[in-house]
Amino acid sequence: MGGYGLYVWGSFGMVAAIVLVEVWQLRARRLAAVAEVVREIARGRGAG
Amino acid sequence: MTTTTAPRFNWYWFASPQTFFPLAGKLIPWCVWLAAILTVIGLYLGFFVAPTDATQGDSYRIIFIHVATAWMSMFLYVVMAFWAAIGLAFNTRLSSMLATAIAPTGALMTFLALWTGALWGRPTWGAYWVWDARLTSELILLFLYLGFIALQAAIDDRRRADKAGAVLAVVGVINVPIIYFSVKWWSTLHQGASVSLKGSTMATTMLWGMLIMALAVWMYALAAVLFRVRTLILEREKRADWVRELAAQGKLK
Repeated sequence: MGGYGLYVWGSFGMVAAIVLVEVWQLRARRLAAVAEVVREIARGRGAG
Repeated sequence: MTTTTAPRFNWYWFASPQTFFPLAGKLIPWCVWLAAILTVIGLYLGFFVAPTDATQGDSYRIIFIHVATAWMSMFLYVVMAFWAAIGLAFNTRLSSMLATAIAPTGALMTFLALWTGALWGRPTWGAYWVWDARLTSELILLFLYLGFIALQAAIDDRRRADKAGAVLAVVGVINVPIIYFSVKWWSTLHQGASVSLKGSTMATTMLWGMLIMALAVWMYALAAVLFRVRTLILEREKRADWVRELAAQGKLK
């Protein structure tokens, strides 16, 4: 990178890290939401 | 004799969380694949085809991600404010959920635009940060996104949180043209637009690399927002019969 590697890879590396963190967060929240729906259904069966 | 008419396509059909949920689920894989393919093409053009810049050397290659994230930070804010305003005016649940789903990805795009801009500014201007009109207005955009997220999180009642957030989003949209035109209205260290409706001042391969990376980031943002809005729908509609039916069919993930 002609002496600019720190700046160029620092930029693209941060983008990659942020994408990974966002994807992980999205999946974790989805799994939690699905688990909550399953709990709701179980509660409904218990009450019924 | 009875006559039947073919059902006409109706956009309002997808205004309901129940009908939008499966549509978003079908769109996400397309967006992810397009984002991946465009990223590979864009990075190949950016790193292997585009020549080294005569004045900035290889540091200019940051442009391939900086411009894409900066454009997306502004575009997402306008889309967020649009859906927030629709939700505020018509009390439509899905519109407010879309605005809420856009905010985190918009905030991340804004952070990345500032981060990559700082790492580009150091070798070209000699400073990571200056209180320049373009940089400062982009920083304000980050605070607007964070303010929107924090305001919604601080209010327990979701309908009230949606409305409060919508007011902030709509008022804050005035900052977007300020960001865009800041390099024309004020004397700034940040360079002017390299691409406009009149054409481009960049080499063709550089321009194509930048535009393809912008499309890749657009597809990624769309996938992330659709994924998040599906989660928000599940969180808010968890007691609805249609959610229970989908759960029974194993179609929630």
